[in-house]
Amino acid sequence: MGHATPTIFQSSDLNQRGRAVLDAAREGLVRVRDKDGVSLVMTREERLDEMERSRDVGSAIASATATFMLVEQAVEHRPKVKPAVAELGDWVWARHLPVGDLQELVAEMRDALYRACREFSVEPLQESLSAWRETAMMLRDPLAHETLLGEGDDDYVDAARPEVEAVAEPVVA
Amino acid sequence: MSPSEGSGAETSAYKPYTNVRRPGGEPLAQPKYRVLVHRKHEARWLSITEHVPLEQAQRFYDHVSQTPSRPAEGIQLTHLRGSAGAAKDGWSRVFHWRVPGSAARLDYVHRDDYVGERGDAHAIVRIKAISVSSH
Repeated sequence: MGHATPTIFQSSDLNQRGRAVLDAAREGLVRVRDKDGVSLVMTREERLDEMERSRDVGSAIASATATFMLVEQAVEHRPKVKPAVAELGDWVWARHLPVGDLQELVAEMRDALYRACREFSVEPLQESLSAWRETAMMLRDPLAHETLLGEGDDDYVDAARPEVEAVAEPVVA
Repeated sequence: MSPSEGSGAETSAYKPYTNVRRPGGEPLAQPKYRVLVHRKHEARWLSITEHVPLEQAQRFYDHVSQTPSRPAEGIQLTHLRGSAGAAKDGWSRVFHWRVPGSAARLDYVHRDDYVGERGDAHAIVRIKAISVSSH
């Protein structure tokens, strides 16, 4: 979003040229200077919503970038050592991932960050972070960890469709 | 004849000693995939309806037994990442099914040409892991 040059009015214009103030606010940004010099801004509500959305996207990208840089540095400097919790930033859940997976995490998040910046959208970040977080949380479960990462473990049994238990009919004498 | 029969009066829905209709809907057609669960997760599978509404558990089963690789409407179906989610030995990548409104997660793989001990090919789904703990 580009920076629109605001139209400047004085506080007295609100009474004397109210229509002009409103029309200017409908078209873009209006700055009204109060008598004590405080600057107030008036604009369309949807424009404010868009500005707030942009702020949120920028904030999310900045936060993810900060964590990404921490994790990337830890993984690249010591690729065979699990990073300390303090090196994982907001991605504390990553401590449940195998050390060997962290480079893949970094590679995917680098790509997701790039797409998020180019598209100015949090969706690429959310999609990748959610998938990695879900993976980490599954691996936190010891039994799931064992069967997801176990090699050559083929001990499977048939799984029946879940049903309600049969209700025994009373015996009628 | 009971007092209400043939009289035009409203009959009671109460029928003692008659099984109630099974909730969750009827199963779909004959499963295309044989569904297996890792023996270590068998107990969790057998008690899955303690953590997930029956309808959701049946929906999961019907989905994986029919169209395990397709997205399911209204369901968060993704793939696990990293070594836990990689495809190997002819099996698909690991699908991750998250049950809405529940802590339950189920991970499965599928294979269309699994050759069993008798030498014939089957379509198989393997439920590799079930987690019901809150994240």
